Amino acid sequence: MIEIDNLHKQLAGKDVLRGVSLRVEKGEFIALIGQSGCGKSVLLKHIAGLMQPDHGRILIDGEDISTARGRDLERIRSRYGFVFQNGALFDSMTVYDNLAFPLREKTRLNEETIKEKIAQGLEQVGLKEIESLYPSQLSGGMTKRTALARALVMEPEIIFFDEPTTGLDPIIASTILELFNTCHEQLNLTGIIVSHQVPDIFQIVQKVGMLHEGKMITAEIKNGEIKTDNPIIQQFVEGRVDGPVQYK
Amino acid sequence: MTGRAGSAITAELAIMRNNEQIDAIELMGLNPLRYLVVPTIVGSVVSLTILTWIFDLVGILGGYLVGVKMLGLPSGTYFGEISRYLEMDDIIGGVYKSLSFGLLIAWVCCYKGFNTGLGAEGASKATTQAVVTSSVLILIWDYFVTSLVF
Repeated sequence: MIEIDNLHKQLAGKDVLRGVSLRVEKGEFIALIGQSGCGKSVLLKHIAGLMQPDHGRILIDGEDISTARGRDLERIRSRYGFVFQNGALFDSMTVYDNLAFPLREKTRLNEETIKEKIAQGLEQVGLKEIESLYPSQLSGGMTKRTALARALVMEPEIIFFDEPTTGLDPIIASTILELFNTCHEQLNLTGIIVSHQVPDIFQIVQKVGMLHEGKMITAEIKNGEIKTDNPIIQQFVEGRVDGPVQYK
Repeated sequence: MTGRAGSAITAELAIMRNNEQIDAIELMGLNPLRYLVVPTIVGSVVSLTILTWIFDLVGILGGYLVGVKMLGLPSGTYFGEISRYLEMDDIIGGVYKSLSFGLLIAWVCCYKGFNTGLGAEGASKATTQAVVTSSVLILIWDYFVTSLVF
Protein backbone atom coordinates (compact mmCIF):
# COMPACT_ATOMS: atom_id res chain seq x y z
CA MET A 1 0.00 0.00 0.00
CA ILE A 2 1.19 3.53 -0.86
CA GLU A 3 0.24 6.30 1.53
CA ILE A 4 1.15 9.90 0.74
CA ASP A 5 0.63 12.23 3.65
CA ASN A 6 0.62 16.05 3.38
CA LEU A 7 3.42 16.29 0.81
CA HIS A 8 4.96 19.70 0.13
CA LYS A 9 7.59 20.60 -2.45
CA GLN A 10 8.87 23.93 -3.69
CA LEU A 11 10.86 24.10 -6.93
CA ALA A 12 12.48 27.30 -8.22
CA GLY A 13 10.42 29.33 -5.76
CA LYS A 14 7.13 27.79 -6.91
CA ASP A 15 4.94 25.64 -4.66
CA VAL A 16 4.52 22.56 -6.86
CA LEU A 17 3.02 20.30 -4.20
CA ARG A 18 0.98 21.97 -1.43
CA GLY A 19 -0.15 19.28 0.94
CA VAL A 20 -0.78 16.32 -1.37
CA SER A 21 -2.35 13.31 0.29
CA LEU A 22 -3.25 10.08 -1.50
CA ARG A 23 -3.79 6.44 -0.64
CA VAL A 24 -3.30 3.58 -3.10
CA GLU A 25 -4.43 0.20 -1.81
CA LYS A 26 -2.59 -3.03 -2.63
CA GLY A 27 -3.56 -4.29 -6.08
CA GLU A 28 -5.15 -0.96 -7.01
CA PHE A 29 -4.36 0.92 -10.24
CA ILE A 30 -4.74 4.69 -10.08
CA ALA A 31 -4.51 7.30 -12.86
CA LEU A 32 -2.77 10.56 -12.03
CA ILE A 33 -4.09 13.38 -14.21
CA GLY A 34 -3.75 17.14 -14.29
CA GLN A 35 -2.64 20.11 -16.37
CA SER A 36 0.75 19.99 -18.05
CA GLY A 37 3.43 21.16 -15.63
CA CYS A 38 1.20 20.78 -12.56
CA GLY A 39 3.68 18.43 -10.85
CA LYS A 40 2.49 14.90 -11.72
CA SER A 41 5.97 13.67 -12.66
CA VAL A 42 7.41 15.46 -9.62
CA LEU A 43 4.96 13.58 -7.40
CA LEU A 44 5.84 10.29 -9.10
CA LYS A 45 9.56 10.97 -8.56
CA HIS A 46 8.87 11.59 -4.86
CA ILE A 47 7.06 8.26 -4.56
CA ALA A 48 9.97 6.59 -6.37
CA GLY A 49 12.44 8.19 -3.94
CA LEU A 50 14.20 10.17 -6.69
CA MET A 51 13.23 13.47 -5.03
CA GLN A 52 12.89 14.40 -1.37
CA PRO A 53 9.88 16.42 -0.14
CA ASP A 54 10.23 19.65 1.83
CA HIS A 55 7.57 18.34 4.17
CA GLY A 56 5.36 15.25 4.44
CA ARG A 57 5.71 11.48 4.24
CA ILE A 58 5.43 8.72 1.64
CA LEU A 59 4.81 5.36 3.23
CA ILE A 60 5.32 2.15 1.27
CA ASP A 61 3.74 -0.56 3.41
CA GLY A 62 4.55 1.55 6.45
CA GLU A 63 8.14 2.43 5.47
CA ASP A 64 8.88 6.08 4.75
CA ILE A 65 10.78 6.23 1.44
CA SER A 66 11.38 9.99 1.77
CA THR A 67 13.72 9.43 4.73
CA ALA A 68 15.15 6.05 3.64
CA ARG A 69 18.83 6.04 2.62
CA GLY A 70 21.39 3.53 1.37
CA ARG A 71 20.39 -0.12 1.54
CA ASP A 72 16.93 0.65 2.95
CA LEU A 73 16.18 2.82 -0.07
CA GLU A 74 17.59 0.19 -2.46
CA ARG A 75 15.41 -2.48 -0.79
CA ILE A 76 12.22 -0.43 -1.19
CA ARG A 77 13.12 0.40 -4.79
CA SER A 78 13.71 -3.28 -5.51
CA ARG A 79 9.94 -3.69 -5.20
CA TYR A 80 9.36 -1.08 -7.91
CA GLY A 81 9.02 -1.18 -11.66
CA PHE A 82 9.15 2.15 -13.46
CA VAL A 83 8.23 2.83 -17.08
CA PHE A 84 9.59 6.23 -18.03
CA GLN A 85 7.99 8.58 -20.54
CA ASN A 86 10.74 7.99 -23.12
CA GLY A 87 11.51 4.45 -21.99
CA ALA A 88 14.93 5.34 -20.49
CA LEU A 89 16.47 2.28 -22.13
CA PHE A 90 20.26 2.18 -21.98
CA ASP A 91 21.23 3.25 -25.49
CA SER A 92 24.66 1.61 -25.37
CA MET A 93 23.05 -1.82 -24.77
CA THR A 94 20.91 -4.09 -26.95
CA VAL A 95 17.32 -4.88 -25.96
CA TYR A 96 18.56 -8.22 -24.55
CA ASP A 97 21.20 -6.54 -22.37
CA ASN A 98 18.72 -3.88 -21.25
CA LEU A 99 16.45 -6.60 -19.88
CA ALA A 100 19.34 -8.72 -18.61
CA PHE A 101 21.02 -5.84 -16.73
CA PRO A 102 18.80 -5.85 -13.60
CA LEU A 103 18.66 -9.66 -13.61
CA ARG A 104 22.46 -9.97 -13.76
CA GLU A 105 23.01 -7.32 -11.09
CA LYS A 106 20.18 -8.07 -8.67
CA THR A 107 19.78 -11.84 -8.89
CA ARG A 108 22.00 -14.93 -8.98
CA LEU A 109 20.30 -16.46 -12.00
CA ASN A 110 22.50 -18.17 -14.56
CA GLU A 111 22.63 -16.87 -18.13
CA GLU A 112 20.40 -19.69 -19.43
CA THR A 113 17.59 -18.77 -17.00
CA ILE A 114 18.06 -15.07 -17.76
CA LYS A 115 17.69 -15.84 -21.46
CA GLU A 116 14.43 -17.72 -20.82
CA LYS A 117 13.05 -14.91 -18.62
CA ILE A 118 13.87 -12.31 -21.26
CA ALA A 119 12.17 -14.35 -23.99
CA GLN A 120 9.08 -14.71 -21.74
CA GLY A 121 9.16 -11.01 -20.85
CA LEU A 122 9.30 -9.90 -24.46
CA GLU A 123 6.58 -12.34 -25.46
CA GLN A 124 4.40 -11.00 -22.62
CA VAL A 125 4.51 -7.53 -24.21
CA GLY A 126 4.05 -8.88 -27.73
CA LEU A 127 7.62 -8.50 -28.99
CA LYS A 128 9.71 -11.13 -30.74
CA GLU A 129 13.16 -11.33 -32.28
CA ILE A 130 14.25 -7.85 -31.26
CA GLU A 131 16.83 -8.96 -28.67
CA SER A 132 19.79 -7.91 -30.80
CA LEU A 133 18.40 -4.46 -31.68
CA TYR A 134 19.57 -1.24 -30.03
CA PRO A 135 17.02 1.25 -28.60
CA SER A 136 17.74 3.69 -31.45
CA GLN A 137 16.46 1.03 -33.89
CA LEU A 138 13.07 0.69 -32.12
CA SER A 139 9.84 2.55 -32.91
CA GLY A 140 8.04 4.53 -30.18
CA GLY A 141 5.61 1.71 -29.41
CA MET A 142 8.37 -0.92 -29.32
CA THR A 143 10.41 1.29 -26.97
CA LYS A 144 7.49 1.57 -24.53
CA ARG A 145 6.86 -2.18 -24.69
CA THR A 146 10.53 -2.94 -24.14
CA ALA A 147 10.58 -0.53 -21.19
CA LEU A 148 7.53 -2.33 -19.77
CA ALA A 149 9.21 -5.70 -20.29
CA ARG A 150 12.32 -4.43 -18.45
CA ALA A 151 10.15 -3.16 -15.59
CA LEU A 152 8.26 -6.48 -15.35
CA VAL A 153 11.23 -8.81 -15.68
CA MET A 154 12.15 -8.22 -12.03
CA GLU A 155 8.59 -9.11 -10.97
CA PRO A 156 7.80 -5.84 -9.15
CA GLU A 157 4.98 -5.42 -6.65
CA ILE A 158 4.44 -1.73 -7.45
CA ILE A 159 4.67 -0.23 -10.91
CA PHE A 160 4.75 3.37 -12.12
CA PHE A 161 4.05 4.63 -15.62
CA ASP A 162 5.02 8.17 -16.55
CA GLU A 163 2.91 9.19 -19.55
CA PRO A 164 3.32 5.81 -21.25
CA THR A 165 1.21 6.63 -24.31
CA THR A 166 2.42 10.15 -25.07
CA GLY A 167 3.51 10.52 -28.69
CA LEU A 168 1.97 7.24 -29.86
CA ASP A 169 -0.80 6.83 -32.41
CA PRO A 170 -4.26 5.99 -30.97
CA ILE A 171 -4.15 2.30 -31.91
CA ILE A 172 -0.72 1.66 -30.37
CA ALA A 173 -1.73 3.80 -27.34
CA SER A 174 -4.83 1.63 -26.79
CA THR A 175 -2.76 -1.52 -27.28
CA ILE A 176 -0.28 -0.33 -24.65
CA LEU A 177 -3.09 0.46 -22.16
CA GLU A 178 -4.63 -2.96 -22.82
CA LEU A 179 -1.23 -4.50 -22.17
CA PHE A 180 -0.97 -2.66 -18.83
CA ASN A 181 -4.42 -3.90 -17.90
CA THR A 182 -3.48 -7.51 -18.72
CA CYS A 183 -0.28 -7.23 -16.68
CA HIS A 184 -2.21 -5.70 -13.79
CA GLU A 185 -4.80 -8.46 -13.78
CA GLN A 186 -2.29 -11.29 -14.20
CA LEU A 187 0.30 -10.07 -11.71
CA ASN A 188 -1.97 -8.20 -9.23
CA LEU A 189 0.29 -5.16 -9.33
CA THR A 190 -0.26 -1.93 -7.46
CA GLY A 191 0.25 0.91 -9.90
CA ILE A 192 0.17 4.61 -10.64
CA ILE A 193 -0.20 5.83 -14.22
CA VAL A 194 0.46 9.45 -15.11
CA SER A 195 -1.56 10.05 -18.25
CA HIS A 196 -3.36 12.65 -20.33
CA GLN A 197 -5.29 9.97 -22.18
CA VAL A 198 -8.72 10.63 -20.69
CA PRO A 199 -11.24 9.01 -20.78
CA ASP A 200 -9.47 5.91 -22.26
CA ILE A 201 -7.30 5.54 -19.17
CA PHE A 202 -10.44 5.05 -17.03
CA GLN A 203 -10.91 1.60 -18.60
CA ILE A 204 -7.91 0.21 -16.70
CA VAL A 205 -7.91 2.07 -13.37
CA GLN A 206 -10.03 1.95 -10.23
CA LYS A 207 -9.40 5.51 -9.07
CA VAL A 208 -8.35 8.89 -10.46
CA GLY A 209 -6.22 11.46 -8.67
CA MET A 210 -6.15 14.92 -10.18
CA LEU A 211 -3.36 17.27 -9.19
CA HIS A 212 -4.63 20.84 -9.26
CA GLU A 213 -2.79 23.86 -7.85
CA GLY A 214 -0.61 21.58 -5.77
CA LYS A 215 -3.50 19.67 -4.16
CA MET A 216 -4.95 16.24 -4.89
CA ILE A 217 -8.59 15.66 -5.82
CA THR A 218 -9.68 12.03 -6.13
CA ALA A 219 -12.60 10.31 -7.84
CA GLU A 220 -13.76 6.72 -8.11
CA ILE A 221 -14.08 4.84 -11.40
CA LYS A 222 -16.97 2.42 -11.92
CA ASN A 223 -17.20 0.33 -15.11
CA GLY A 224 -14.82 2.62 -16.94
CA GLU A 225 -16.73 5.80 -16.02
CA ILE A 226 -15.68 8.48 -13.60
CA LYS A 227 -18.03 9.15 -10.68
CA THR A 228 -17.59 12.70 -9.42
CA ASP A 229 -19.39 15.99 -8.92
CA ASN A 230 -16.16 17.92 -8.68
CA PRO A 231 -16.30 20.72 -11.32
CA ILE A 232 -12.48 20.78 -11.70
CA ILE A 233 -12.25 17.09 -12.62
CA GLN A 234 -15.38 17.33 -14.78
CA GLN A 235 -13.97 20.25 -16.78
CA PHE A 236 -10.61 18.50 -17.24
CA VAL A 237 -12.15 15.19 -18.32
CA GLU A 238 -14.60 16.84 -20.70
CA GLY A 239 -11.84 19.10 -22.07
CA ARG A 240 -13.92 22.27 -21.69
CA VAL A 241 -12.30 25.71 -21.89
CA ASP A 242 -14.84 27.30 -19.55
CA GLY A 243 -14.75 26.32 -15.90
CA PRO A 244 -12.78 26.64 -12.69
CA VAL A 245 -9.52 25.53 -14.36
CA GLN A 246 -8.03 28.55 -16.10
CA TYR A 247 -4.87 28.48 -18.22
CA LYS A 248 -2.67 31.50 -17.61
CA MET B 1 42.88 13.67 -22.89
CA THR B 2 40.59 16.26 -21.26
CA GLY B 3 39.33 17.57 -24.60
CA ARG B 4 38.74 14.18 -26.17
CA ALA B 5 37.93 11.65 -23.42
CA GLY B 6 36.83 14.10 -20.70
CA SER B 7 34.29 15.85 -22.90
CA ALA B 8 32.97 12.45 -24.08
CA ILE B 9 32.54 11.29 -20.45
CA THR B 10 30.61 14.43 -19.49
CA ALA B 11 28.46 14.43 -22.63
CA GLU B 12 27.54 10.74 -22.23
CA LEU B 13 26.63 11.09 -18.54
CA ALA B 14 24.71 14.32 -19.20
CA ILE B 15 22.64 12.63 -21.91
CA MET B 16 22.05 9.63 -19.65
CA ARG B 17 20.91 11.99 -16.88
CA ASN B 18 18.57 13.93 -19.19
CA ASN B 19 17.16 10.73 -20.74
CA GLU B 20 16.45 9.39 -17.22
CA GLN B 21 18.80 6.43 -17.76
CA ILE B 22 20.59 7.24 -14.47
CA ASP B 23 17.21 7.43 -12.69
CA ALA B 24 16.40 4.02 -14.22
CA ILE B 25 19.55 2.52 -12.66
CA GLU B 26 18.64 4.03 -9.27
CA LEU B 27 15.09 2.67 -9.53
CA MET B 28 16.46 -0.82 -10.12
CA GLY B 29 17.84 -0.51 -6.60
CA LEU B 30 21.38 -0.12 -7.93
CA ASN B 31 23.97 2.56 -7.26
CA PRO B 32 24.75 4.44 -10.51
CA LEU B 33 28.10 5.61 -9.14
CA ARG B 34 29.27 1.99 -9.06
CA TYR B 35 28.28 1.34 -12.67
CA LEU B 36 29.11 4.66 -14.28
CA VAL B 37 31.67 6.58 -12.22
CA VAL B 38 33.95 3.91 -10.71
CA PRO B 39 34.77 2.22 -14.07
CA THR B 40 35.34 5.66 -15.64
CA ILE B 41 37.77 6.72 -12.92
CA VAL B 42 39.68 3.41 -13.02
CA GLY B 43 39.78 3.48 -16.84
CA SER B 44 40.92 7.11 -16.90
CA VAL B 45 43.73 6.58 -14.35
CA VAL B 46 45.02 3.40 -16.04
CA SER B 47 44.75 4.70 -19.60
CA LEU B 48 46.35 8.07 -18.84
CA THR B 49 49.30 6.33 -17.13
CA ILE B 50 49.79 3.96 -20.08
CA LEU B 51 49.38 6.84 -22.55
CA THR B 52 52.03 8.84 -20.67
CA TRP B 53 54.51 5.95 -21.07
CA ILE B 54 53.66 5.70 -24.77
CA PHE B 55 54.05 9.48 -25.22
CA ASP B 56 57.41 9.36 -23.37
CA LEU B 57 58.64 6.63 -25.74
CA VAL B 58 57.30 8.49 -28.80
CA GLY B 59 59.04 11.65 -27.53
CA ILE B 60 62.36 9.80 -27.23
CA LEU B 61 61.84 8.27 -30.70
CA GLY B 62 60.94 11.69 -32.14
CA GLY B 63 64.09 13.20 -30.62
CA TYR B 64 66.11 10.33 -32.12
CA LEU B 65 64.63 10.93 -35.62
CA VAL B 66 65.34 14.67 -35.52
CA GLY B 67 68.66 14.57 -33.66
CA VAL B 68 70.23 11.45 -35.16
CA LYS B 69 68.58 10.97 -38.54
CA MET B 70 68.08 14.60 -39.58
CA LEU B 71 70.82 16.54 -37.78
CA GLY B 72 73.47 13.78 -37.82
CA LEU B 73 74.05 13.44 -34.06
CA PRO B 74 75.70 10.09 -33.20
CA SER B 75 73.09 7.72 -31.77
CA GLY B 76 75.42 6.74 -28.91
CA THR B 77 75.69 10.36 -27.87
CA TYR B 78 71.92 10.79 -28.05
CA PHE B 79 71.09 7.80 -25.84
CA GLY B 80 74.11 8.45 -23.61
CA GLU B 81 72.94 11.98 -22.87
CA ILE B 82 69.45 10.69 -22.17
CA SER B 83 70.71 8.20 -19.61
CA ARG B 84 72.99 10.87 -18.11
CA TYR B 85 70.26 13.47 -17.57
CA LEU B 86 67.24 11.24 -17.03
CA GLU B 87 66.79 10.19 -13.40
CA MET B 88 64.41 7.73 -11.77
CA ASP B 89 62.69 10.68 -10.03
CA ASP B 90 61.72 12.03 -13.46
CA ILE B 91 59.99 8.74 -14.32
CA ILE B 92 58.32 8.41 -10.90
CA GLY B 93 57.23 12.06 -11.07
CA GLY B 94 55.68 11.41 -14.47
CA VAL B 95 53.79 8.43 -13.12
CA TYR B 96 52.49 10.43 -10.14
CA LYS B 97 51.38 13.20 -12.43
CA SER B 98 49.62 10.92 -14.90
CA LEU B 99 47.85 9.04 -12.08
CA SER B 100 46.63 12.24 -10.43
CA PHE B 101 45.67 13.89 -13.73
CA GLY B 102 43.67 10.80 -14.74
CA LEU B 103 41.83 10.90 -11.41
CA LEU B 104 41.23 14.63 -11.67
CA ILE B 105 39.88 14.53 -15.25
CA ALA B 106 37.50 11.63 -14.54
CA TRP B 107 36.33 13.14 -11.23
CA VAL B 108 35.56 16.60 -12.66
CA CYS B 109 34.00 15.27 -15.88
CA CYS B 110 31.81 12.70 -14.07
CA TYR B 111 30.67 15.33 -11.56
CA LYS B 112 29.71 17.78 -14.32
CA GLY B 113 27.94 15.05 -16.30
CA PHE B 114 25.96 13.85 -13.28
CA ASN B 115 24.95 17.38 -12.31
CA THR B 116 24.12 18.68 -15.76
CA GLY B 117 21.39 21.18 -16.55
CA LEU B 118 18.32 20.19 -18.54
CA GLY B 119 18.23 19.63 -22.29
CA ALA B 120 20.83 20.06 -25.00
CA GLU B 121 21.88 23.45 -23.63
CA GLY B 122 22.49 21.98 -20.17
CA ALA B 123 24.56 19.13 -21.60
CA SER B 124 26.55 21.52 -23.77
CA LYS B 125 27.30 23.85 -20.83
CA ALA B 126 28.27 20.91 -18.61
CA THR B 127 30.71 19.63 -21.25
CA THR B 128 32.34 23.04 -21.72
CA GLN B 129 32.60 23.57 -17.95
CA ALA B 130 34.10 20.08 -17.49
CA VAL B 131 36.85 20.68 -20.08
CA VAL B 132 37.68 24.20 -18.82
CA THR B 133 37.64 23.21 -15.12
CA SER B 134 39.75 20.08 -15.73
CA SER B 135 42.30 22.01 -17.80
CA VAL B 136 42.66 24.79 -15.21
CA LEU B 137 42.85 22.32 -12.30
CA ILE B 138 45.52 20.32 -14.16
CA LEU B 139 47.65 23.48 -14.53
CA ILE B 140 47.26 24.30 -10.82
CA TRP B 141 47.79 20.70 -9.66
CA ASP B 142 50.81 20.34 -11.96
CA TYR B 143 52.46 23.25 -10.15
CA PHE B 144 52.00 21.57 -6.75
CA VAL B 145 53.06 18.09 -7.90
CA THR B 146 56.15 19.52 -9.61
CA SER B 147 57.08 21.42 -6.44
CA LEU B 148 56.64 18.31 -4.32
CA VAL B 149 58.27 15.68 -6.57
CA PHE B 150 61.12 17.52 -8.29
